[in-house]
Amino acid sequence: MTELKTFKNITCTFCGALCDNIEVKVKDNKIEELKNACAISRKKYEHALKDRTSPMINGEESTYQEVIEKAAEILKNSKNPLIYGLSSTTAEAQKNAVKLAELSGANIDSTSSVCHGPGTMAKQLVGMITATLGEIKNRSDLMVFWGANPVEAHPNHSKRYTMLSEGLFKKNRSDREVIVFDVRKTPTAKMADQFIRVEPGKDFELLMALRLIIQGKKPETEAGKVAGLELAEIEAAAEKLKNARYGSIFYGMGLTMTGAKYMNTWAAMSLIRDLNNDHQRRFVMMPMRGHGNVAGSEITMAWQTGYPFAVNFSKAYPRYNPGEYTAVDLLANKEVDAAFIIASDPAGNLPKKAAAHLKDIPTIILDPHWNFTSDFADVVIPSALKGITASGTVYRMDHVPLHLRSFLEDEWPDDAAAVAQIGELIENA
Amino acid sequence: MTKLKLKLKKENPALIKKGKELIGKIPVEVENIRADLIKKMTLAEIKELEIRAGKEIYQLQDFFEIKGEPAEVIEIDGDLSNFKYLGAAMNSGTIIVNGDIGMHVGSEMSGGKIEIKGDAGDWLGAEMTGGIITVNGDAGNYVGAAFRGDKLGMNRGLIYIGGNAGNFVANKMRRGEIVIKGDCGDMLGAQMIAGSVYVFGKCGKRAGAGMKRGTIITFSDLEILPTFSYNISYFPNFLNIAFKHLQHDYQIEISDQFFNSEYMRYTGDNTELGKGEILIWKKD
Repeated sequence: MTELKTFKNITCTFCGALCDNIEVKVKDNKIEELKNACAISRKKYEHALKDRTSPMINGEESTYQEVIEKAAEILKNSKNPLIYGLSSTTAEAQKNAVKLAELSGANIDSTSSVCHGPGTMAKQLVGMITATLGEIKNRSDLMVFWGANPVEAHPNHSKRYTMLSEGLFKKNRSDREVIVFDVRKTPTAKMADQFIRVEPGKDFELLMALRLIIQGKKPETEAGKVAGLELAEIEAAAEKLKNARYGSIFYGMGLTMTGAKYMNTWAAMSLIRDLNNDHQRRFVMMPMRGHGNVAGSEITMAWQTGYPFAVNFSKAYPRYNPGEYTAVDLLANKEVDAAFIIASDPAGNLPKKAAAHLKDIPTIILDPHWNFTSDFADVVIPSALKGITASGTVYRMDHVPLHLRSFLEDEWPDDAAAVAQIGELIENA
Repeated sequence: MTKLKLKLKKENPALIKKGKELIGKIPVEVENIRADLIKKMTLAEIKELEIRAGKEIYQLQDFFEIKGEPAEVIEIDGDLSNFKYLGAAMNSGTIIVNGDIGMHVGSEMSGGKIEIKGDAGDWLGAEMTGGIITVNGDAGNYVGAAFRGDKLGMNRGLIYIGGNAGNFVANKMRRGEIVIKGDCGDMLGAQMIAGSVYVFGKCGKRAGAGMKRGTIITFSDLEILPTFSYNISYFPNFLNIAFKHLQHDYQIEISDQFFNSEYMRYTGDNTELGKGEILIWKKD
C-alpha cells in the first residue's frame, strides 16, 4: 500500500464518549493525517504503533504459541485466579474472558470497580433513569455536571453531545442552562452559567437536602449550612432543577469515589426519581465513563453472568460481591494465587498494597503496549490495537454499541482471539 | 460436656507460597462446619466433611487436627482470617473460635450461638434470622446487613461486638439487636427498616442515612444529617427496660449512668418514611 488512503468515520476508543467521526489518512501502514481528533485522541493515535509488546516468558523472548500455552497452564494450576482489566478491550474479548473465568474457576473484575462501579451498585439499589446522548443533545434545557470535568477528560463531549452541540430543538449554548457542582472551579465550571462549590466529601448531605426540598420539606441544620452552602442557595438550586423541562445530570468520579461512595450516587439517583415523580418535567442522568469500553465491560458481564463486575466463579456458577470479589480486595487481602490482566495497568493504578501482591504471584498480561505491569509480569502476550489494527464492538457511555473498524495491519491477533485460545487449551486439557 | 475440637494445621492447602515464603492465603469456605449438622455425624464422616478452598474441594482433615467427639459444641483454634461462611445457616448448637475469622460468619443463621474470641470479617451475621453472635475483638463492615441485591438484612437475633465495627453496620436491618461496645464506622443503619442498634463508642458520619424505621442509640455526640428533625429531649422509659433485657438475657454490662437518663431524640430519614429514631445520650 503505497498511495494515501482515507478512512472516514473511524471510532476513537480512548474515552467513554467514543467519537465516531475521526478521519484518518494512511500510507505504508502508517497514519499520515488525522482530522476531528481531540488532543488526547491525537496523542493516542500518534503513539499507537510505538512501544509495542512482544511475547515474553519470565523476561525472555518467546513465541506467541508458547506464551498462550504458558498462560493456560498458570490459570489451570491456580486455585483462585483473578482476571482483571477488560475496560480497554472489545465486547468480544470481554465475552471470551467471562467464559475463561468460568473454565478456570476465576474471579473476574473490571476496572469499573475502581471508577464507576459504585454508581452501578447504586443503580441496583434504586434504578437509573437515563437516555441516549442524542436525546440529551436534542432536548435537554438544563445540564448539570456533578464531580465531572468533561472539558479536560472528554474534550469533544461538550461539542458533540452537550453544552455546545447543535441539537434538533436545542440549537446552541444559549438554549441550555448549565450548572456545575464540584469542589473546585474546573474548566467545565468556567463554561457553566452557575458553579456551586460543594464542601469536599459532603455531596451526600447536599443531595439529600435537595431531595428534601424537592419533596416540599425543609432541611434542618444547627449551623444553617449544608455542605458549606446556605440553605437559601440550595433552595435556589432546587428551584432551578424544578423549573427545567428536560434536565440531565452527568456525574463523574467526584461523586462515585468520594465521601459516601455508592450512597452518593444512590442519593443522586433518588433525586432524579423524585424530580420525575410529579410528571412536571423529565430528568435523566448518566455516568461520565472514562475508558473506551468500560460501559461495555459492565454490559457484557451482565448479559453473560447476571452481574456487572466483581464476579466469582470458584463454585462454577457466578457469585457477585463488591468488597469481596473486587480486584483491589482480592489482591490487598492476598487471596489470589495467579492473575491474568487484560488491557489494563493495575501496577500503575491500584493501591500499593494490592499492586505489591501482584508482583508476588504469577501474573499474565495481555496488552499491545508496555506498561508498569508488563515490566514485572511473568508472561507477556502481545495483541492487536482495537479500533486501529483490530475490529470489534465497544459501548459508548450511554450504552449505545458501536462497531470498530481496523485500518492498519498488525502482526499479532486481537484480544478476543488470544483469550479464546487460552480458554480452548484449558477446556481441551 | 462433650466437645468437638478442631485445630488448624500449620501446613494446609490454602497457603499460597513462593518458594518457602508465605505470600497469601486462599479463601476457604466452611459453611459445612455447623454445630447442628456435625452432632448427627460420625467422626469418620466429620473427617471427610467437604471444604472448599478457591475452586478446589478438600476434606476437613486436610485443614484441621480433629479431637473429641461429634457434639453440639465445636471449638476451633487458629488464625481463621481467610475462612468464610463459618456457621452460615446454622440453627442450633455452639461454635467457639479462639482466634480471628473471615467474612460471612453466621450469615443467615437461625439459631444457636457463635463466639469469636478474636476479630471477625465483613458481613458478620448478615441476614441472620435468630441466634446470638458475640465477638470479643473488632468486626468488619456490613454487620447484620443484607447481602447485595437483597431487601432485608438481619431479621431477629443478637450481635454483640466487644471492639469496634466497620462501615454500614445494620444496613437494611429488619429486626433484632446489635450492640457495639467500641466505635463504629460511617453509614450506621443506612436504609435501616427496623431493629435496634446500640453504639457505646463514637459513630462515624451519616448515621441513619435513608432509614425508614428502627432505633439507633448512641452515647456520644453525633453528626446529624440535614434530613433528620430534632424532636425532644426526654427520659425514655423503654430504654431502661431494653438495658435490663440486655443485662439479664445476654449478660451485657451496661453502666448505671445510662439508666433513667436524658436523651435527645431525632427522627428521620425525612426523605424516606421518616419513622426512624436516633437517641443521643445527654451527658448531664
